[in-house]
Amino acid sequence: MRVVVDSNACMGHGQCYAYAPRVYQPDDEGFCAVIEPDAEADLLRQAIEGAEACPEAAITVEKP
Amino acid sequence: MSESNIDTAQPFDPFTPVVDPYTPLKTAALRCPVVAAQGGAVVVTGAANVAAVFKDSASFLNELRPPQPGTQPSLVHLDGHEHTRMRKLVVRAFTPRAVKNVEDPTYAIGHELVDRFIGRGSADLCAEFAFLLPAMVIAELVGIPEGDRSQFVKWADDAIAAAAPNSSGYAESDPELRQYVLGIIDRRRLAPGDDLLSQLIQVHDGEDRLRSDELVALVRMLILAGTDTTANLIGSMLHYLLSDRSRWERLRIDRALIPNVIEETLRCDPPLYWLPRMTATDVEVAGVTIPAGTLVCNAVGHANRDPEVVERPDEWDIDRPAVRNRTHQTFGFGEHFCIGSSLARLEATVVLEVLLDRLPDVALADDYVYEPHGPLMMRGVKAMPITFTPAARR
Repeated sequence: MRVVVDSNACMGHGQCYAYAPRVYQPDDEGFCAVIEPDAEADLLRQAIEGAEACPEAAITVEKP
Repeated sequence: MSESNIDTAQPFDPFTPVVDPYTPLKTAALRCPVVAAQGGAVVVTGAANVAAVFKDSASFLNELRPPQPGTQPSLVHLDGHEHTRMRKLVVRAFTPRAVKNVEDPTYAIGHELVDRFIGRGSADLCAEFAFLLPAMVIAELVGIPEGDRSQFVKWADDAIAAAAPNSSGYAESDPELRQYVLGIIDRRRLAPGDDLLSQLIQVHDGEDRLRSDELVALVRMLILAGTDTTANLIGSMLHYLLSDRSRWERLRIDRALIPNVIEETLRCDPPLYWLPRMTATDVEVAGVTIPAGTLVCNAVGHANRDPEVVERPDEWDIDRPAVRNRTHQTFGFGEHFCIGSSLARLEATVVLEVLLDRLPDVALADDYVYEPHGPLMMRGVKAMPITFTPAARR
């Protein structure tokens, strides 16, 4: 699955990297950087958890 | 309305501030995670249950009561479509990048407040610092001219007092605050600055803009949401740091612990230890049916100490790494997640840096007795008499 963050919608709340640090990390301003864009299996579960935590619904996890 | 199976055998009182609400709440929650409170209200406990309440924003509404006629509800009391619209227009002004613009002014405010008492050798760190700084930062953020700050802070205090339970909800000085803000809005429309109000006036989503009355409501909301909460975070942090001086000493030696101090305080003793929601329909939580129209006290303070989620949950531990300590629900979860979280963390950071610089030997006075600030779900500290070696103003 492909993990994509809409950088216009990301407001730097940091919930994604708080809940799923193996998939998301903060950039140097605190916005979302996807470090595992092709998440499968265990990472996929985390990717979804992080996406669901986003207050702005800025992250999508979908078939590439 | 379906039968409610709420267990009323061991109620908990979420409305009366006490020194330690966490122990009795933990006990009550062990019987049943949905705890009965007075007046038909319930307290929801446990990390998973608290998160579920936040996530189901259709069943658990932010709008607790119909808005008073002639008033404009703002972000924290909106739901659904209206909430999304308003939030989209303002959230951009609160990103970590945007909030960085008030970092220098926040340092200046912190130092100015310390200058007022540093020659005395004693002060009340609540009344003379923690309860002034956030209001002044909001004033700066909004774009209130420096000369008008004290008046703005007074109006802010009035608005907060009027929002307390058993109060009308609106202060006598509210029309003055309103007129003043409308005046600033007019000036910024003609001559925009880089302050928040100017940004909000210019911000648009497609063709959508904020009307003047919406802007005024927003300013009131920023005062209500961003003043007491941050003040209580500051109070609680200082209480933990100074009530065991080894903690303050460790921080003096290693300021890299500052983020840990902030995050652990947010987790362990959140400024609001529960957040209110109103059920829109009958809804089930942990096998308990909560009837429609019930006030739900979503206990983030209990969720943050869930042993399934954190080790030694009742221990305030300066060594928990901040980056791994951000799954607390102090700022909520989901679409109503606090837009001020970056600002709150910035203010907390500046407060600690300033106090470490200016009052390195600060100590709690002998007559200090911890009392939560209150009312209701608010934690923080009521008064914090301190002593220190007098020094010069900057």
